[in-house]
Amino acid sequence: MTEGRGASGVAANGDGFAEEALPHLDAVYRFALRLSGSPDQAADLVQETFLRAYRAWGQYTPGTRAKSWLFTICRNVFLRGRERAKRHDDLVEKHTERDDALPDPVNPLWSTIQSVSPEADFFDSIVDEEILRAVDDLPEEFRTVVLLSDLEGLAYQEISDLLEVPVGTVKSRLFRGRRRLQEALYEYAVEMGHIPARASSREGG
Amino acid sequence: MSSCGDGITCREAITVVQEFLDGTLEGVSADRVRAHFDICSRCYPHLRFERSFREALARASRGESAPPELKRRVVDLLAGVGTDENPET
Repeated sequence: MTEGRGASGVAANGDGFAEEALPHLDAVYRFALRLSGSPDQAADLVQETFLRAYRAWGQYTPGTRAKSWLFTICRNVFLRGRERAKRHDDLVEKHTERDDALPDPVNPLWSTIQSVSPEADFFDSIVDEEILRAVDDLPEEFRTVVLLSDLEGLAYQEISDLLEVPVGTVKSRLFRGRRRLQEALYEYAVEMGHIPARASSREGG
Repeated sequence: MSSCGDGITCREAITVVQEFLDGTLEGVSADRVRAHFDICSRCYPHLRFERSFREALARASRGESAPPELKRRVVDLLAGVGTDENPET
């Protein structure tokens, strides 16, 4: 498989690209769609990502995950595109002191849902479009880790490499992002009447 | 009453439920955590809740794929270019 590579390690003809990279086109598209929020922009991002990946195919280490490599390129292309429109400062993810703090291990939403709807697998009642919309509505720092981990199945370490943040930060953002997402989906389920509202003692609501 | 059976406590099990599902447990074996969830009727629904959340996300994601014409465009695009030792940065 690596025979086509010259001394420089560059594939002369993109050997293996079709087999290793192209199968991830759907995943890259989904990632691009969640990043940009627009199908047109996502299509442009996908084309640019695959073009760059193909040209740089020699830099890809066979046997590593082509998927996270493609995601890295896609995200960089996306961020560079935004840089042209916005100040770079706005884009650099802010490292706050609470970044590595994990949320309370006992999920408060879980207790709520238990009390109002103990038997329901209530996530099953939520349509895919609504789940994706809720992901889209997450703040960027949470959205990216949740989609890389829970929608695309990347490991903590891969996400850490991709975003260039420590594994602890990935974990913390992921846990907090999941909580926010669950909250949003819970609110939606209540709105839709899938489950009763929480029996809270809100005064004058 | 914080423990069910002879393994870890409910609190410990619930604390690591995310890591358990992510396969990233540290300091406690997956077997011990699993054993707790298997026998604890209080904790098991919590595990099921978190698991069904993950499944819902994965399911929602799988439903989406790139438009066929985009796939064709990418394949056509690549057919027209070569690989480059010094890709534009």
